[in-house]
Amino acid sequence: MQMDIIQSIVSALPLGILPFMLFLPLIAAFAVIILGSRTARAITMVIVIIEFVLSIILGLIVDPAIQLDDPTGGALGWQFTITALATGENPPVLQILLGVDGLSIVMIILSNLVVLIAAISSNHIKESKSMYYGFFLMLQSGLLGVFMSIDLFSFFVFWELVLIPMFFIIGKWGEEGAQHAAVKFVIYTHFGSAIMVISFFVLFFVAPTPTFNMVLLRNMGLSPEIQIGFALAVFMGAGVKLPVFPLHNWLPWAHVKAPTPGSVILAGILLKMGGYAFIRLGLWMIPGGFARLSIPLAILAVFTCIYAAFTAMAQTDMKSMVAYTSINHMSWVLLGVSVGAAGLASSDPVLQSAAHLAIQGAIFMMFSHGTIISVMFIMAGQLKYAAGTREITKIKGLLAKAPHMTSVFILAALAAFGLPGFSGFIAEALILFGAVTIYIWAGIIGFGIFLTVGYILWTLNRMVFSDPDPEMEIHEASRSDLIAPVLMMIPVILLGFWPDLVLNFTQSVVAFMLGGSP
Amino acid sequence: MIFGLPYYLILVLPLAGSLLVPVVGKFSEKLRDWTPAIIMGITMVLSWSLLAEADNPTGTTSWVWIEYLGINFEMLLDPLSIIMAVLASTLSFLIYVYSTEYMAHEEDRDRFFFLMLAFGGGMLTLVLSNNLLIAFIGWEIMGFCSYGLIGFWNDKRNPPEVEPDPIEYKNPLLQFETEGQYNTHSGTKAFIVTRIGDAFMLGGILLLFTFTGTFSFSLMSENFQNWWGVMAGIGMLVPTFLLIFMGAIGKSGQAPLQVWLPEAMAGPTSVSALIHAATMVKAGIYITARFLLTIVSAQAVSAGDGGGGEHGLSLLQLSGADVITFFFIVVAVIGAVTALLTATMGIASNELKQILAFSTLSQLGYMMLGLGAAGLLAFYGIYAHEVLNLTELHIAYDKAYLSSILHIISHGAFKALLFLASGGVIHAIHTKYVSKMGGLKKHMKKTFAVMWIGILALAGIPPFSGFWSKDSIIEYSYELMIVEQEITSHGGTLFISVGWLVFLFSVLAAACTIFYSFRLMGLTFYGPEKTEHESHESGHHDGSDEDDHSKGHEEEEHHSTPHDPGPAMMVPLYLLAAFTIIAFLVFPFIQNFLLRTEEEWGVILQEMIFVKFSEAGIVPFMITLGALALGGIPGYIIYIKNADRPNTFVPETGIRRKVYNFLRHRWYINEFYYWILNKYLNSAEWWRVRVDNKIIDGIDFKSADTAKEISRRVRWFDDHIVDGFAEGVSTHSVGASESGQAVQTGRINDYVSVIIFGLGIMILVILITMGVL
Repeated sequence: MQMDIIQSIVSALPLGILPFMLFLPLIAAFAVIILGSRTARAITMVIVIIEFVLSIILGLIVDPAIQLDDPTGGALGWQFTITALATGENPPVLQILLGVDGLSIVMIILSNLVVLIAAISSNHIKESKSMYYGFFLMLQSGLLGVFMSIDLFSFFVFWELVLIPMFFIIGKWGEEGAQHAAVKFVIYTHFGSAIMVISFFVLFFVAPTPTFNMVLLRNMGLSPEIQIGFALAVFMGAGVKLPVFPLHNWLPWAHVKAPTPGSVILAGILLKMGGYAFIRLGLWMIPGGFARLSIPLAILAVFTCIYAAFTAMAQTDMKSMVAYTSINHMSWVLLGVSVGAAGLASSDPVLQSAAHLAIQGAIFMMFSHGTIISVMFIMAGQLKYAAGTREITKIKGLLAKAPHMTSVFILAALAAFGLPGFSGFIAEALILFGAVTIYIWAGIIGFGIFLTVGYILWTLNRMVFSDPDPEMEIHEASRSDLIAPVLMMIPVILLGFWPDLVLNFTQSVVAFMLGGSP
Repeated sequence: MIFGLPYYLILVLPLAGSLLVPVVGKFSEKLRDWTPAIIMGITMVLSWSLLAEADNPTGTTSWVWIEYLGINFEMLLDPLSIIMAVLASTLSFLIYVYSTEYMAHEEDRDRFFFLMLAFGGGMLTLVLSNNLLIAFIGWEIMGFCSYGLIGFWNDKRNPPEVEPDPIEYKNPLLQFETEGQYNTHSGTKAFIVTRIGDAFMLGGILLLFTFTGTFSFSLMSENFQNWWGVMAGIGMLVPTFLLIFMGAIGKSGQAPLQVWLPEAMAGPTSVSALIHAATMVKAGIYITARFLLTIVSAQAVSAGDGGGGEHGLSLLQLSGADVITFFFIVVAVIGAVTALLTATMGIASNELKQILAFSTLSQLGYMMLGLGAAGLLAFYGIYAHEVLNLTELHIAYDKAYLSSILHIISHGAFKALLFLASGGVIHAIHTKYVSKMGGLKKHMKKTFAVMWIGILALAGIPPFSGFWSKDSIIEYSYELMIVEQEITSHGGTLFISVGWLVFLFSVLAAACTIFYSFRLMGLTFYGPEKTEHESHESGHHDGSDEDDHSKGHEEEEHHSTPHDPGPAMMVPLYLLAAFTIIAFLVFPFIQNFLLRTEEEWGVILQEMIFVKFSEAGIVPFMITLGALALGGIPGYIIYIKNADRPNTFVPETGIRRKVYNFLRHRWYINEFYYWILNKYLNSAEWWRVRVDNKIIDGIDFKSADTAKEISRRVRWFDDHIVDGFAEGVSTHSVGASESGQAVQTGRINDYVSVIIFGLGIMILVILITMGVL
């Protein structure tokens, strides 16, 4: 009965649910800019809530077993041709082509969730609100576009669409030194994207049938040399976003200087674009190419994890510690992807099932990290308002002075180092099980867990459980500031006990990748 | 059930109701105090209504619990369960009513009444569950509640009351600064000691599950053939049951885990009554009885099915009945040892409630003994019939089992009575030591009367309830001895013959019991009053000034002369006293109910009385009477008749003093455990200081410092080399483009130049990839 209502809602949407979700924020963005600052937050809240509800509906109506094997995007697919260049036999068709499978749905739900939380926690933005929320909604469109596109051209368009609003959000509403950080962010990511886009065009021409359509490209089975070249290019583009060593230095800058909601979106969902690109353009589209890069990527992932853990330990700014934690966690995604790729290429059923675990773990890690790190960033941002500083060494006795805020913070910190009962543990466990089965030495990443536990507890020790400094004023965070993090803790804990909520979506996609390698 | 209500209400009401107690406390203190009594009252009515439905329930008794494992939540409504449920709920109800007055001036009653009600709920869960796992949950609920209740007065900051003529303990674990410390220690001790048993028990339960594939008692007896032979064949039968019995040893305070119960007196008196009479310690007896039933009835049925012929014989030989007798020997011997051991400890104890605690332990020993004897009789009976063909030998195990259960009931009633009455005494004169009491019969006439009834029942004087049940246990231990003789005389072989030991111990324990019972009465109610002059009497002055002061202060606050408590405390006492007197009129009903027979009430009553003078019964009866005289007459002379004179029975030196000290120290068993514990703690401390702190911690700190140092350097590397490289590239390219095109703004320049740079690298990469081609 409920499903009937949902179905009728979906069928009533103009264009179809995917394009509606995609363009609604974009249109609303212009409306927000035109209508001015007074209504900006209200409109944005309405839009992001609608978007979130729609993404849940999307999760409900789509059968997780459905796969993207139809070049037009399947039942929910939608396509819009921008232009067909009239050159020769197989003209490049520039089009927007949308379609979803379990993987995309997980990412869409995550991005709408993170955007919703970021919108709630935008309550400290006071300056030129209409512009801010305009960019904010534009950003949402871009994110959704990336996860919905099944066409390399539209993928790239949305990939780049994300950059512009993010650049302004960091630069204009960030802290002192934000401009530098914003420029750095754009240069780094654009550097990667540029390499990636060139590889898209090269691929178009070297493919047996020239096309941008991912499904077609996957089905035609590219030759191994092309696959390796493309994989390297994807690695550049996605590796910057993820990020991996040594392409990571934009991240601490951007995260630290950005306003809190900016950091939340950056860490919560922008990094996941990298992970998503690895899986969608890599494992899903050209499994053969990635399989050959498996060992170097896995080594890089393990190294990044430990490197980031060490760097995080030495940070004194809370936000940059969280930022490095983010790098640390995202390297798990890369590990899952790389060992998954090795398993994909193998015909050994043991390795295949290990790869199954690892890839599911990578996807789960993206979701779980998106939720956990959002809370961490919001709490780190609150510190600035509560204590006037984010310096770990200066803040003392937080628990005694601001118990409510601190308890949320402690929970998030426990989740961040993967305590059982929180979603992070499931993710790390899945990846680790898969990884050590395929490469026994990948277990070294366990040292990264150990370091992470160490520095997070050390930070808690110094900040939270120390004796209060009588000269330092620390205020309790107001109730409205705690709504967003508390809401975000719900999926963290829920997934810790019920990981199937996400894994149900990913299972068949991963099985499809494993089974259908061309 | 009554009104067609679902059966599970009996467990759910008290357990869920306990959670309501603090909520009710928010609205009304008075109502909160009465909530447990009201809820348990309803539960009691429901339990009584079960009596009509034993073995043929009218409603659903099974609900799916864990579908995956095929485990159901089932309720067991056989006579044993129902009797236990009726006993537990009724006594709990009376105790809760008593508590409303007894605890009226205490702090933290939310906690108290919550735990009390949950305690009762735990016991009902245990006895009514047909699922061993759920029974174990009830078992553990009780463990937790006992921990909370024994240590209930955890906040008492005054030093513990100074005992006249105290035992000096050297062990640092036995030194207590405040009363609160002592109380919490006692609670923890109870919890830990019973947990030792529980751990074994859980192992046994799981082991049993591995072989039987079920947690359900009824399925276990139904599928008897499937697992019994297998387990006996690989020798797991006795270990498994012994493991489960370990749980019963812990909970029911059997030797060697009897040490927790005397200290459990630290809790409020109503708690002691609840633990001793209605719940907790009866749990172990119940679970043993339950297994006795499961094993014996199934065994008897399968032996009987063979028609006494070849089949039964071969089954018996296969099925390890000879092995399981070993289990019952252990049960009987442990029961007998406990009965005597703790009875002797009771002789020398100086705390009013502790004497009662020892008496409980001793009576529990009797119950265990009765169960063990029942099991042995059952198997000897089968053995005699099937193997030796002694068809004329009539062995009735079920009467032995019956007498154990009757003892549970009668003990429950008179022990609740004794505790509640002594609670009134302690309440009135503010000391727990009998040597500080005396002469109370003038002031507390009603309490004095009911206390005598309880004491006579405890001592086993006819016609009070204790006599009937205890004496028949002694009789059956005598019968066990006779049966063993019969079997050996007819050429049968026994594993070991324990009948004489069991009988001897039970008789001696009866003598001790009556002695300390009279001592208790004499010291408490007879002789001169001592409370006002305690510091002179005790002959013991160290640090008692402060103590006296606080004591005097307390007495000013309350009434100066001791008096009988009010109606909420007295009415339960009258009810219990009435039952104790007329119990023998009720026992025939219970016998019919429990053994599923339908004999005339008068016939059973006659049999009950005349069996004492029958050919078989006269010998043990006379021996018992002799034992009662042996203990009772000196007890009466020393403590009651000569109560007004100074007591010189135990001189300062000599053999009597040595025996007395040995008993005072409780055979040094308790202290021995503490000595081991202390040694262990010392060696752990040594390990911590020498090894853990120095070496392992040293390594930890060193590696932490190293990690910090590495992290500092890695950060420097990250900031200066990795980031520095990128920044350097951009600065230089900005510089380069600025020198070329000074018009552009820096930012766009940056952007474009790096794009160009990126494209360059891109092309390189592509060329390389193509080159690979």
